[in-house]
Amino acid sequence: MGLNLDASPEELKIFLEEVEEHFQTLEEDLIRLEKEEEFNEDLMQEIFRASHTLKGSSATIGHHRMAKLTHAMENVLDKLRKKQLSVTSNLVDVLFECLDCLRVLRDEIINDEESDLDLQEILEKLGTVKEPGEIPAATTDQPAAPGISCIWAETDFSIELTWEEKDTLHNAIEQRLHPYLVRLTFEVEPEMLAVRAFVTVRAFEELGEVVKSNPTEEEIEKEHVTDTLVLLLLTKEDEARVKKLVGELSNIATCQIKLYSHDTTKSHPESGVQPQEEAGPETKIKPVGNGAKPGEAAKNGAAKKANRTVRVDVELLDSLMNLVGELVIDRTRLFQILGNLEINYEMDEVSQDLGRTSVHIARVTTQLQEQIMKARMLPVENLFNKFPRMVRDLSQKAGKEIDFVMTGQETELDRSIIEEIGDPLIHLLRNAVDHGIEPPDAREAGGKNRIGKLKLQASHEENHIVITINDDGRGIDAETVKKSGVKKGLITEEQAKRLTDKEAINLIFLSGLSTVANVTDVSGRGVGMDVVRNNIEKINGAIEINSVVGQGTEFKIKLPLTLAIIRALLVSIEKSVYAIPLSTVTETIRMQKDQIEFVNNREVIVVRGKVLPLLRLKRVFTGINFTDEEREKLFVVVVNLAGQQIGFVVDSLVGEQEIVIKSLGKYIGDVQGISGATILGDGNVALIVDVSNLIKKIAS
Amino acid sequence: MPKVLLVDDAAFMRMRCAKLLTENGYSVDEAENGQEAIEKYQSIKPDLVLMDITMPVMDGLTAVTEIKKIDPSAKIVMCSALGQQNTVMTAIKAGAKDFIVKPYQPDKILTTIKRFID
Amino acid sequence: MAEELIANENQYVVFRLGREIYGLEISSILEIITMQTITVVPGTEDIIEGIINLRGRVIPVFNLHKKFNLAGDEITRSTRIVVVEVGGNSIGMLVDGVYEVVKITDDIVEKPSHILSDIDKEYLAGVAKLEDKLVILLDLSKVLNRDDAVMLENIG
Repeated sequence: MGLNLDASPEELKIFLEEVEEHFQTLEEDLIRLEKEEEFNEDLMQEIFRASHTLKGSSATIGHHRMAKLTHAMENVLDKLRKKQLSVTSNLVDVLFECLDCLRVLRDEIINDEESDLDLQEILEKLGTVKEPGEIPAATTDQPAAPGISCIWAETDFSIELTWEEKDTLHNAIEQRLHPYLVRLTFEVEPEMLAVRAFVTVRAFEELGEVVKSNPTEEEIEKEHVTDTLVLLLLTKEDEARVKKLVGELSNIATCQIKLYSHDTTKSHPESGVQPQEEAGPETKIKPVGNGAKPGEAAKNGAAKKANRTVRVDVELLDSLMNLVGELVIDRTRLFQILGNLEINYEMDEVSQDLGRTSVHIARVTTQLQEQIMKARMLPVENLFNKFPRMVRDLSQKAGKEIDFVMTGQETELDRSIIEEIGDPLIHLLRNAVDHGIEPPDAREAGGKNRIGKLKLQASHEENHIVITINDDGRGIDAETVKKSGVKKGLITEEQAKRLTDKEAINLIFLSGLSTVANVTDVSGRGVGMDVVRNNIEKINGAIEINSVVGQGTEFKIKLPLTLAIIRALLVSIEKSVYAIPLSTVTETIRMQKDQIEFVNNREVIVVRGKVLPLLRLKRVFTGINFTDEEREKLFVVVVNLAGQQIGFVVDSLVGEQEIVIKSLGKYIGDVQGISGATILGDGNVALIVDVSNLIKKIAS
Repeated sequence: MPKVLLVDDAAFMRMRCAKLLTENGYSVDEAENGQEAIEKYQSIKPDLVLMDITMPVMDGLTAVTEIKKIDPSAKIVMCSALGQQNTVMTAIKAGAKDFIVKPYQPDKILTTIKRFID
Repeated sequence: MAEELIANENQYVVFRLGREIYGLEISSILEIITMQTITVVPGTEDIIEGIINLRGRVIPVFNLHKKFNLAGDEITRSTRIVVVEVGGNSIGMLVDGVYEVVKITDDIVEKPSHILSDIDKEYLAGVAKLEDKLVILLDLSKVLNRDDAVMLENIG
């Protein structure tokens, strides 16, 4: 059954966007709320506003269940901000549960179908938070007339008066005029702020005398304004009349009215005229009042954004990327044609002209490629945002105390990579909480802080994005991993002895090992690490572990900026060209055939004292054995993934080039050792070598 | 029925606005520019003027000044686009009561008008 | 009468495969191209000749000789790749030469069970008896059954 909402599709879109923002705010703020030891007024207000706005907007579009739930939430939040309730972990749990319910209700809008979510339970939970016999929450924040659209806020404020002004005031009070101190915040287009403040002061003057305002009328005219206006009004009207006026005024986000008294200045000298706030107008410009009439706020926001952004279907971006991919191929092609042409007609004007044009097209293509890649980028924030909550829930369940810190949320990644990287990250974080970080008592016994540290960082490094997950837990013991490896028959006793600690730790990426429960417990790492690694390598990423027993573990994930286009080393094998993703290549070596040695009947070479296993790609891909008497010189491409190095023996090196990754299509399906295909400059198709697949093959 | 004089050179805008106001119980008259606005103000004596700023023949700011000369108690609300804040400020000082920012939001127009007509 | 004829008439592209003449309904054919460089994909079954670049797209090419166990699949000057669409995918098929487009009416088509061909009759839609030749009509959906894609063995 449809929801029958009172909003156009366009309005709903904006509504949903806004709702998502508020959910995000709530999610982040609730976690902060639980962490902060002291009462944080601003934080409380922000949470309240988000919930309040949700209430208003859901009521406006006629989503009654959402309105009902947010109303109940707001009652609780109102008490919290008035310090009638204190923040407990239990209360935060209930609020989080509300948020989960709200998401379900939001999905109802998306699906245009009512869910079977029963609100009774959560409403009761919210209800029990309420102390019995209490006076119902103040209703001042519920506008009586549709025009009244502001929140009655509660921050301490005042205004400083000169002696003369105090005198005026004194006389006025004797004449039974009321001195009202009014603090307003505006939500208005920044450029209209001064005019709005000006009109507002004028409007108050219609009720009486504005003795003083901050900023003053002169300051307002000079546009020395913030979104806050404090004024002292002397009027014969009562407070209700003043409130009515505020309700009628436009662009008011929050409002506070109180009777002016001398105490106000004396008891709170530090909040005086709020000089700090004046000093930092930019912090005040940001709209304090998301709480203004939600529908309007949404429309305003949309109108403002509409000037600069348009919505684009993801599919369109994908197809743009494909088209650019073809241009990239043609760019390479063009230079090959040019090269051929120049051999024959070097000084010909036409070929020189073509050369110049080609260079230009190449440059434009590169720029176009960069821009479109940029358009596909999203900050990892969208992904990271859900983690604090997850870590919190997990650590509560596991009885751990964890300080979870995230940095670099603004780092941007291609949206398709963001989609792919979510699950591996969840897995790694979960492992860190469940197995990496010790229980508080164990930590204390080990001389560590009871509170474990878990860090998630994203950063941009050259042509890659690096995401690291860092914990200060028990670390991974190489010896234990080795033992399990031997026990499970994954490696021999002999092999185990030869492994370095780093190599041993990397064994946890093997599928046989990581699913073993007892290793999980002893080594501190959970199941499915092979899946994590596969997922990351599938998108041409790489994962690395560093771990020190007793000190902690770090996972470092290196990701390409985009999925569609990568740099590759082209090599030739039996007259066919293959592409090896450059991100996996550490070096290429040219060597004599007699440098090959045999270990365990396997070909290896020694590079700078290290033994490097070799894999003849010719044999892998064509089945042709390498009698190869004719070749004295060999080319070895050294690749590295997750700490494992092997050398691919190829016939020759062709060059380095940007390639556009194409799938082999479902008729061909998965082919071992090949991850896809690409089109070369000459129009031929080259296969892309699946490095991780081949490394695994040689390892097993 | 309260009378509103709608001054805008764009017929489309007048149409949209007039429809909204009529539906909400106002009687609406229209003028295409400042000059016409002054003439109509004198003949109709509206309760409120909604005044666009950029118009041919005579702009909104001049019209405000002129109308205020004729009737100091005239209630005028400026219709501004973003970027015209300086003109609006001048108009307010010249006696305009308030302003609305385009693109118009129906409920904003109505609340703003309501304050002056009640 | 005339209407009836038109209703039962289809256009077929006629091509040669080994010693026999085959026909494919024209509506299933996207294009016919000359021989291209085909990149062999290691570890795939024999019937997949490889992949080619079709104007920036990578599409697989089937070897019908091998599919139907026909003798002689040398590439000659007349070899063509018939590109068809099956289930939203473009697929190429190697044929030994394309002749013409003919109109074939239902009344000259016989059920496959009555005839003999070198290839398995399950792939056939029928046989059309033209004045000068027999044209074996292929059932494309059966020829390029998805099963073919599943049976690909990975390299060992």
